[in-house]
Amino acid sequence: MRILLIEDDAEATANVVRGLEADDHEIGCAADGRDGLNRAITERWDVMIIDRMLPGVDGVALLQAARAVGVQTPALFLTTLSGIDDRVEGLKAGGDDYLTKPFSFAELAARLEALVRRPPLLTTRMNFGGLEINRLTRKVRQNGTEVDLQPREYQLLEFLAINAGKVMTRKMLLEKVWDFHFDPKTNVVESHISRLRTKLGEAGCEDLINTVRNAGYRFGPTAPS
Amino acid sequence: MEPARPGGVGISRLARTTSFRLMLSYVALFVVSVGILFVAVSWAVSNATRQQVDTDVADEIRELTRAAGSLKLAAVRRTIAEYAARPDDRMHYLLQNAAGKVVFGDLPPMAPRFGRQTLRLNGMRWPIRGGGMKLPNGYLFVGEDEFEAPHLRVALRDSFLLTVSLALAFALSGGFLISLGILGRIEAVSRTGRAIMAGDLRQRLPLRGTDDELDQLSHVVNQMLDRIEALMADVKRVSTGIAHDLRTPLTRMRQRLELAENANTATDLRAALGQSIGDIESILTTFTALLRIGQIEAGSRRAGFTEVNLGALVAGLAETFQPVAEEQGKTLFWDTGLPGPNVLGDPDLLTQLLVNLIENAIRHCPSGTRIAVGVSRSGSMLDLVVADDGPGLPEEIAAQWRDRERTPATRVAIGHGFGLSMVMAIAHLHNARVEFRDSGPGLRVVVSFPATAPTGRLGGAT
Repeated sequence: MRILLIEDDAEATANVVRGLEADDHEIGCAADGRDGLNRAITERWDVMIIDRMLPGVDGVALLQAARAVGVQTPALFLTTLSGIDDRVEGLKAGGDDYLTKPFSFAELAARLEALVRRPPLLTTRMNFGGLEINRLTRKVRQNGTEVDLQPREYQLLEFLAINAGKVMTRKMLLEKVWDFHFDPKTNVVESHISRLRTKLGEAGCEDLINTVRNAGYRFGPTAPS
Repeated sequence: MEPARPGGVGISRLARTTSFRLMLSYVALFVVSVGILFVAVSWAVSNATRQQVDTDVADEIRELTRAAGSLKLAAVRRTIAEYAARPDDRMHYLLQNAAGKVVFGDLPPMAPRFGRQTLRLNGMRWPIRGGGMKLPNGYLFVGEDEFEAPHLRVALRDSFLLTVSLALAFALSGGFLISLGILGRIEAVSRTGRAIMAGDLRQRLPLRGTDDELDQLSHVVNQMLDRIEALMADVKRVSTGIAHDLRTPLTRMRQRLELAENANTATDLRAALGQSIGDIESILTTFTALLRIGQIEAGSRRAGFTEVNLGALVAGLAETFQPVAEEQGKTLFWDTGLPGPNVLGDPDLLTQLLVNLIENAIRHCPSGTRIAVGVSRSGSMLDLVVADDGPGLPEEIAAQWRDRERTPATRVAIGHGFGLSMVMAIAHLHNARVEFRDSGPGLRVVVSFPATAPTGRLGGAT
């Protein structure tokens, strides 16, 4: 995919470029807000990575300006501040996601992929082999037999399912399923994934939640039918 | 930094003090006003004496002519001679005939002139003021010397000079003494300031107990110093804590990387790198927690407060952590209480507060511990309770936490990581009180929030 990286730190830029190019992405760079805004408006990109603190035009102002002239490209904010208000401010400005520096490369890659690849499934009933998830009744059945899930387990399964095929990191799950914008000290995600796997396994549905090493989890061996 | 001034109290320093300069200004004003008063009084006195002389002379002439019975020279001469012979007579007379020749008197001949005039004669000490009167065949002049006016002026001048000199002497010595006193106190303040700059934060400004403005100022400065000392102690404690929290992962990382340098296989190298990244993550977690505590303590989040239902929060989080507790051999119970009022707060932060308390219980208690989470009403307060039957908080840490609910959370960061510090910071932001009680056995943490009026709205459940 074509990625525009707007970041003033040369070394950070070089590292991100090296990492993303290794995944066969095409990267365009801008070292300040003005240049970034110019490239965001005049060229076509699949996704933009915008540093919050930029010389020239601040990241939030940049995205607001770009959105104002109709640029719809998904945008991910990078922030050094583990700010509790910065996330809200970034999302209000039209950002689609945010990532706090320093971040792991796998986290960045997973989030970019989630932003660019086809949008989450919005169907009310999803089928993965014998597993059926009904989003209206919030019931899960395996080959017709209901799988008894706690509300949070259902939410986790549903989120993984509507993002089937994409890597969901631990942080992404904490944010989207639990609405935790901090790092818990215990393995909340791992425990719930393990429980969910056990319950699905007991119902005869195995290997749907795959662990992606050093990155997170990917749901479903295939796209939903 | 400004170089420290020598400590001695010299004359030149005294003269430079505000109090001394103020005193000098007052003295200058005093001298000028006394000078103006002197001029005015002198003028008034001169005028009054002159008028007195004029009246005396007019009376004398009237009396003299009346006593003489006629204005003939011989009669007038005889009367003047009688008058002049009076022992207390201060008058001077001149009686001259039509030819201008002196018939009688102690004054030299003069051109006859009617009315008042002042004579300044050689050989006379004082000017003579008097009146002339033309006689049918001569001229009469009666005058009185003006010795009183200059006398009075001199007396006035002398008393003016005396007053001014005394005032100057008093003001200067008083100014020096007062300035010496003030300078002494300022010097004490400066000495304390220098001692504090040199690193002795226990020093305090001396108080005299007079409650004057310097005492009041010193009191405020002392309170400020108390606060600074407490903050410095916090900074020291927190930096020690951070150093401690960072040293362990940094040491581990260093050892791993040293081993990795000599790793024989790519697998070993990768493993070492992976573990080092884990260590960096742990260091970053510490920093993130510190930054977050700092931000929470700054208080800007209050703007986004909304109604949060603690019962719903407890239910959601207990459900989330129940599998985690179970995995570690602990049991998590929860009781969301009756549907009660909400609290006004930040849902994100309240979530983190409860997560930290639950995680604290899960992480620090041995297997088999029972953990209970609940909400209960206590008067106008809503109590969020996390209790366990584990070993409780070690006494040294419990002591650190007691009575600290109104103090910055960073102060009590050490000992149990930053989780409880975050709890303190968030509680403080919400005007909530945190109590750590020994529930024998175990620890019972109660966070008391002021409840809002029930509206039935739910919020913050995750």
